[in-house]
Amino acid sequence: MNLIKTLKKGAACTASSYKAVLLIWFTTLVLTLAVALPLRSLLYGAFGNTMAVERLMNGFDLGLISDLGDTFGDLTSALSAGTMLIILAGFVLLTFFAGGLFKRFITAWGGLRVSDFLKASANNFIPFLKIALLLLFAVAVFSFVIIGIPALIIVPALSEASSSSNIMYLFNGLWLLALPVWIFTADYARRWIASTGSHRAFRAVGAGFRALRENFWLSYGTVFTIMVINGLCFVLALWFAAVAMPDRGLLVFLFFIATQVLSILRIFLKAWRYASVCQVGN
Amino acid sequence: MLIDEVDNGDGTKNITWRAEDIVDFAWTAWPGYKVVKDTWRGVEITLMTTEQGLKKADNQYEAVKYALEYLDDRVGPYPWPHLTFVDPPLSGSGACGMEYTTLFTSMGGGYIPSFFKLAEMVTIHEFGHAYFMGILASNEFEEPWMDEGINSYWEQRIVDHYYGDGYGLIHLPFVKISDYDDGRSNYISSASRSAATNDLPSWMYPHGTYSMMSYSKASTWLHTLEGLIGTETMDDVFREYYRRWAFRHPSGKDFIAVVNDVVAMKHGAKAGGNMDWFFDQVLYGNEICDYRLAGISSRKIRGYAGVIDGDTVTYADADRKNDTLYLCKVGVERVGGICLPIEVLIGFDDGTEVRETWDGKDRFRDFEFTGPHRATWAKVDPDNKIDMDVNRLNNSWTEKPIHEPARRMMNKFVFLMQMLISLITP
Repeated sequence: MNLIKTLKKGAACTASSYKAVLLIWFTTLVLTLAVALPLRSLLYGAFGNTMAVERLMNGFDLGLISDLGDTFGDLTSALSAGTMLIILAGFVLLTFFAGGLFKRFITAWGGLRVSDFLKASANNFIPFLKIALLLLFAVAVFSFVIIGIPALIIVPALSEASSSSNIMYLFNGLWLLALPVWIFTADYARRWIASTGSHRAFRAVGAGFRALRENFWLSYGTVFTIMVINGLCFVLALWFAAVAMPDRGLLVFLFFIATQVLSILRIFLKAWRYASVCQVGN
Repeated sequence: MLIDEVDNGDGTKNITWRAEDIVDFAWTAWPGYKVVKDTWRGVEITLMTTEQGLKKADNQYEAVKYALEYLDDRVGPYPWPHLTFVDPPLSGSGACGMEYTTLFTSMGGGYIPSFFKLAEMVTIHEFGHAYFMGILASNEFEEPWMDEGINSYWEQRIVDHYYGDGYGLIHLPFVKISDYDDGRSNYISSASRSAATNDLPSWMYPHGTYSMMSYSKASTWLHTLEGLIGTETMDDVFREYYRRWAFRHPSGKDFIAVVNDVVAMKHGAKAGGNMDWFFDQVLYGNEICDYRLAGISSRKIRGYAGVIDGDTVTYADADRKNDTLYLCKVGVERVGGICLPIEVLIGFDDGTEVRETWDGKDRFRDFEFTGPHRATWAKVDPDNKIDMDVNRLNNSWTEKPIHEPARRMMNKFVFLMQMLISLITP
């Protein structure tokens, strides 16, 4: 199977799993709203009936933040605690749903109902969590070796030799190029668990490395292509969210709708990667 | 200028330089310097920077020319034929941001992204010291507000004028910070803002308040002075200050005398004869300034209409509906100890606005209006002239709270969190 066919089949498979994608999106929305809504009330309370809020129309305003005084400290701690909570709960949730998605993608067309999807998510959760943590650890060590150590050696000499910053660009490039290797291995390991029913995380990772070696260019190319598309969408989405400054009720609502469409697209792209990696194994 | 150069024959040289009307001198040497030269209205400008700093040499030149132009036009001419500024290497970064007459050190802008004008701000600030305490040679240790405070005030004006009003320091789509806001926030957010008066010698500021007091509080009340007397008069004050005190040693009292003379000349008795009342509070006093809009009420009063016939009055019911009147009250309070004249802007439900003035001396003042329309919002100091006001959140009140910015911020937060969890989960 060539790259285009793999990506096409992966996309079709993901599109047919739209219910699962929407379920994942809805869950992340509920999770984040659970923190965001109390925060919004806190902001309403802090600003009360002041017209100074108009200064936020164009974005962050240092003068207004200073005027908030101690209330800003309360807001910041609520925001950081909420962010931590969302990150932890979100990581667990998405890892959970990955179990169902992989099962869905290795099952024949139309073979998985929502209840079966959730059952598969629960069944695969522990080994998938192990693989996710293993991957994060591996990427952290890899980043330290490829970027951290050279930076520690080169940065002290930066002011005297500007070419050293070019060397750092090279290391950053290497890091990016090697990232699909880790991602494919983790994805294939999860495919292996979903298809064999085994819960042995390390054996699954071994299977991932073997699959990568056996069909390197297709495996690497699949993940790399989707990673590039995903990265571009991610940057564009963040740029849109940063630049958009809706200032009227309806526009703010439309902005919310637009960001949620982008959020669904982001989940779709991740699912597309899972589905395409599953196709590589077929 | 170079006066003499004698080669000693042993690998050393004796070089003699001469400079007129300077209060300090300095020299620097490093084999890695890259030297760039330029001129501005006959002033030869030399930048000594690093290989990395060369990337931002144009920005640094632009910044120093902005400062030269702005101060030359509004304060007085730059009197020396040359100017040298140095961007020290990373290993010598301890020397960044220091002023000597005709020579100052800035900071390397090579690593700073272009939306953040930190290096430009440092360049403008350090150059400004050529005026405040170079030409106008006040005693920077005994009256630090006269060099750091006045210089920070001008730095903020220059940075925000050239790099963007409201976003002179940081300009991103979602974060905009002006240099002026940065200075004011240092003062208003300090817990020790009332710990001392602003006229202390540098070594007597308590609890680490030297920087906040000398730079931030002084520049904040100078902006307030500008708000009260107007930008044009403020520029005239500094032109006169320059005319009287260039190459001499002015004290705080001398500066105040200049302010009093210029304000009296430009505004007559409107400012109360002189501005001592202002300096007594902001420079020699330690109170804070805070005016608060206490609230608005619009109470219906019956507008009776009818026909008077001798001792009898016949009311027409229909007229009562058409002739509804409101008694609107707008309450303003002085929370802080500083008294300044303020303006209050009141908006009514038909879109009309009324501007009132108050001398700000009493603890409170109620404005009353009777008319067919309800007051829906009001602002104290609507043009933000009173920069010393430590809390502008309580300066306004509207009947309908403005929720859109908070809703938008929360929408962005939700989206950012969704993106983040998707990014960190493989």
